Amino acid sequence: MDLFPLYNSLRIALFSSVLVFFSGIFVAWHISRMPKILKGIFDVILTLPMVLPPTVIGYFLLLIFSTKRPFGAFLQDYGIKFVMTWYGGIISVFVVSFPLMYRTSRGAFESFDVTLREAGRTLGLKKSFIFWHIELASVKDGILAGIVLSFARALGEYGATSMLVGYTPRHTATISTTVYQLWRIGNDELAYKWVLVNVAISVVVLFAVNLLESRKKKEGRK
Amino acid sequence: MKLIVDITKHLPAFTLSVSFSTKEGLTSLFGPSGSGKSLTLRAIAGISDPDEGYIELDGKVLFDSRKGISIPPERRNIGFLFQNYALFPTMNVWKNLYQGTSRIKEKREKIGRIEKMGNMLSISHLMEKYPFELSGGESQRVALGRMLLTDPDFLLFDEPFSALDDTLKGKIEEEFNETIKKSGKSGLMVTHSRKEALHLTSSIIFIKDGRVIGKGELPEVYKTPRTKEEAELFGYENIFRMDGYDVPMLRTTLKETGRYVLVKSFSVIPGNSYRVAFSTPEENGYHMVAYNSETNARVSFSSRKKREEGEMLSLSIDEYTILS
Repeated sequence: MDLFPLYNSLRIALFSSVLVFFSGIFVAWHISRMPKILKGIFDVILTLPMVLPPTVIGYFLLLIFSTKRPFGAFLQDYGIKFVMTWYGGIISVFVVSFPLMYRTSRGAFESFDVTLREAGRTLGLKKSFIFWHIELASVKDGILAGIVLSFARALGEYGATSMLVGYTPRHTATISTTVYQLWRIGNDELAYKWVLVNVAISVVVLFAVNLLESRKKKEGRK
Repeated sequence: MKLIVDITKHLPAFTLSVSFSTKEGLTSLFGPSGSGKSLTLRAIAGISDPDEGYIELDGKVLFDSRKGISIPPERRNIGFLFQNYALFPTMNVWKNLYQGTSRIKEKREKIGRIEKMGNMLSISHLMEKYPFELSGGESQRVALGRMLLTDPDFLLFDEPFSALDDTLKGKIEEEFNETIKKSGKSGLMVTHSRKEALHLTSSIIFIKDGRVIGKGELPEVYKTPRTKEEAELFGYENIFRMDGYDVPMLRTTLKETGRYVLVKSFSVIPGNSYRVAFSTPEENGYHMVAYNSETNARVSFSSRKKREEGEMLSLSIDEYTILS
């Protein structure tokens, strides 16, 4: 059994999760402090990839990154090509999993009790200390749940990825595209194995999310 | 520590415009909810700046809109006890207290101070616990300790007892009183409880609809409210007019009991037209004030002898003071 799809899926999920982590927190924190109308508009735009069919997202991505299009051609001049490359998968997976991170951490930031920030200031604490040690520490479990969820989504992404980077064995193949390919050529035995791998990873991830959620409830009991 | 406040802040449906100064000791900022009490406190702490005005503590300018001065809360050195105590949920009691020592340099001194504060407030046995494991009274003590560790120049309290069970309030109030007295600090306490104001503070500022409507010393102001508004704010419920000279007795119905009240020897009041106000029942009777609406003369009564005669509650006036 060639383990390349597992390796490729993991590295794509890992890189995109790192991107999703920082951009998700940054965007969520800023949007949680916006006035209502602006927040509503941004929220729709940023959550759209969660409800759109992944193939539609893939189509949009092709519109942008296809080397026949201005932006894609421009990137190609600098030797960067997202179509049919493994790192193109980072882009497609990022777009699909970003809303999960963004929404979970925005919820966490919004439920943060602002009097804690104010109390910190009257105690003479620095603003940066308050952000890192009080605010972020309080919403930590929400953010962790967000990153685990988007990592899981990243591992399982199929539609947008297959549109943008397709399936090339030992090059762009991921677990999900491999399962499809194996089924198509009638290699059920190997397809089952990959299905099991996928299910196992998902179960672990969901257990982790539930664990984090129950911890969050316990802390918020008072 | 003298605090001078003269500020205005406009909100969509409300304008706060208050001006007052405080004396040594604890002062009540007293009024119904939505009157702007908490907003005033937040402005003094520097959490939310007013649109215009001036705030000064002991000669030090904290806020001056005309000169563009607004010292940030972390440098005002004013302690703030929040209504929900605002303990940091991810830190245990010891770490919460530790955040109060940020202005102390040496680590050994920090630890020593925390230990002393722990003993003083009897919270030493709670150091390892997290805020969600504490009772209301314990949370209040920890928050109080954390605030006092910063050695603030002035204390602000936002309804410090509203989060507690009624049955426990008495004891906690007593301990609170002792701690504040021991610290020797002055402060301002937002409350709408007559009991808390009388028990814990030595002067009072009345605030209603964003304005200061009266001030004075306690308990004098309570015993002889000067206006109907002050009487109402203090929970005097049965305010009504009395007409006629030399009324031998007063017969009326009290709201809270629904019973007739007979006040004997009422003829001690000189003059013609009076407005009489009853306090809410106290342990051993009622406290009353009568106003002459023409001369503004006031008579303060207390009645300790209370007799129940069927449907009737009979009060004999045993003490009265005529005030000009």
